[in-house]
Amino acid sequence: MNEAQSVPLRFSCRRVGVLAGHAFLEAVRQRVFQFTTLLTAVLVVGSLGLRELDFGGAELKFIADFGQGALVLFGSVLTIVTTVQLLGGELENRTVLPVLARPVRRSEFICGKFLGAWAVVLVFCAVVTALLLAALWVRELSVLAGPTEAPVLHGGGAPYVGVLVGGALQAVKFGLLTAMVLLVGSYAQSNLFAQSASFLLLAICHLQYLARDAWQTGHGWLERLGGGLIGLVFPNFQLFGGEYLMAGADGATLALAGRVAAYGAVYTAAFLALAVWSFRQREI
Amino acid sequence: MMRRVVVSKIWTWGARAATMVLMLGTVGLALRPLEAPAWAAQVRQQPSLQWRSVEGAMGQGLTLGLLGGFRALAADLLWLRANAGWERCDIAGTSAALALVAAVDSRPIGFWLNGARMIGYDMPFWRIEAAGGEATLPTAVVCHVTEAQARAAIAHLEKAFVHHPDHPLLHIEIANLLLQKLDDLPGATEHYRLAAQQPTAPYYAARIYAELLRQQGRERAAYDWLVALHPTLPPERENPYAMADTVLARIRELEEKLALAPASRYQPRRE
Repeated sequence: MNEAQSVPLRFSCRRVGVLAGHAFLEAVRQRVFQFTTLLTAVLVVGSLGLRELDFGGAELKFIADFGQGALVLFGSVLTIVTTVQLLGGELENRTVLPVLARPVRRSEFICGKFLGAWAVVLVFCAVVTALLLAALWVRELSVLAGPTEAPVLHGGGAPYVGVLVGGALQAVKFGLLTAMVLLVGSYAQSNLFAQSASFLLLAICHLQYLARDAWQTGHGWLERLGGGLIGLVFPNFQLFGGEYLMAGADGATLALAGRVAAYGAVYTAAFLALAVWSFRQREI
Repeated sequence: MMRRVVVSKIWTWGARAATMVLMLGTVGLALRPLEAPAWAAQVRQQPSLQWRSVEGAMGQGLTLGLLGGFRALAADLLWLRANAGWERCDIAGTSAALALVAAVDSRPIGFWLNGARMIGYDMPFWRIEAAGGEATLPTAVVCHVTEAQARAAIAHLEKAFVHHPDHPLLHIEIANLLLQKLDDLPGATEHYRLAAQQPTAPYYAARIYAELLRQQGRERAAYDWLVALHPTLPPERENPYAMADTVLARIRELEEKLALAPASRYQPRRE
């Protein structure tokens, strides 16, 4: 054993940055990114024409809701597919071997993939949120022109701050989802399994609050135990919904959004740590 | 040998899964003080989806829509279903669809108002027609059906107050039902007063409140109300909805009726 091998390799942020940059470029070139971004952009712009389908709410709120819905749905698809392709593709094609044969720690590899995949989703969130804000501004100009039936309009103008903070919360949620997909991918033997399991996890996390309810109000001990376990292990994705921000973003709601962001950040760190640990156990 | 390898592998995987569950459970427990108040505050401000109410009626498309975040769109599609039931005069189908719409998305006020109109104004007509028509039924039966549906509509609107506390349009809708279906003039007046006191109330709520007071012989109260209202209204050329000139004309009518001395009559600043 020579001297170089005996010195343990220290974690390097620079190497993580290089890996993240490569992962980002690879993900941006993927068709799934281009397709989901284009489709979401078309949906957001198209919501201006879909307002005829709005039967119950204020028009600007409907556009904001619809845009947020497109962000949530296609953002989730993009996060899962991109992350699985970035990690699973390397494992399936064995291109991970030459990378790990170099002085690169497995934790750096996972962190690089995480940052690269998340950066792609952040670009997606920024583009969609900017388009949504522009669509709202365009409609607001025509909706709020002229006299109104009431001295103060319910809901007022477009919920710009709500859309902005809502987009940021979704970006935090997608970061958490990226870490969860990496954990699944760190032991999955195929991309298909990783994608299926990740979509299942997404559904569980969206319905986590039902497990919490079962824990608190369940009838049998089995229901309470199962509910408690699911409620503790999985994060609550409904927290990131941010629909309450559309009613108006005051100090209290922004503080609430800050709490939710902190909750997401801690869970992301935990899932990322587990993904690193699991990937280190893996035989490649 | 083979068995030992399998057992060892299962043990390794089991231990790994248990470690993950343990760690995530600890994180979940540690984050509980952060999650619980945030969730409670969020549910207070934004009612969570009533899954238990909708799970039996959902197809795959609706599930995907709700999980994907298209709650508004899913509710709109369910509203179409309610309207399809309304076109067929199907009381059970329309009522079920209205309940579903409220469970999926309780935020849009239009669903509550239009749902209450279906229950309170259309359904009694369907029920009476199904029973043989107004001409063949005793008046008591017709009145009973009309009253029952009006009360059901008011109950529907009262549920909306949980999500829209003191929304003026809900008060106005209840007042209209009380006035037109239950002949409850004092009740309707009170709801118009509650509506008119909200900052987001349409201008007409305050005018109708004064008119209802006048109809009950409370001219002095109507006059005081309109005198207090008029200075708060924008000029008619700025906002015709406010109808400041009409309010002033009613003030003058009431002054004549109350025979007020010229010195004690209302003098608007903009006249």
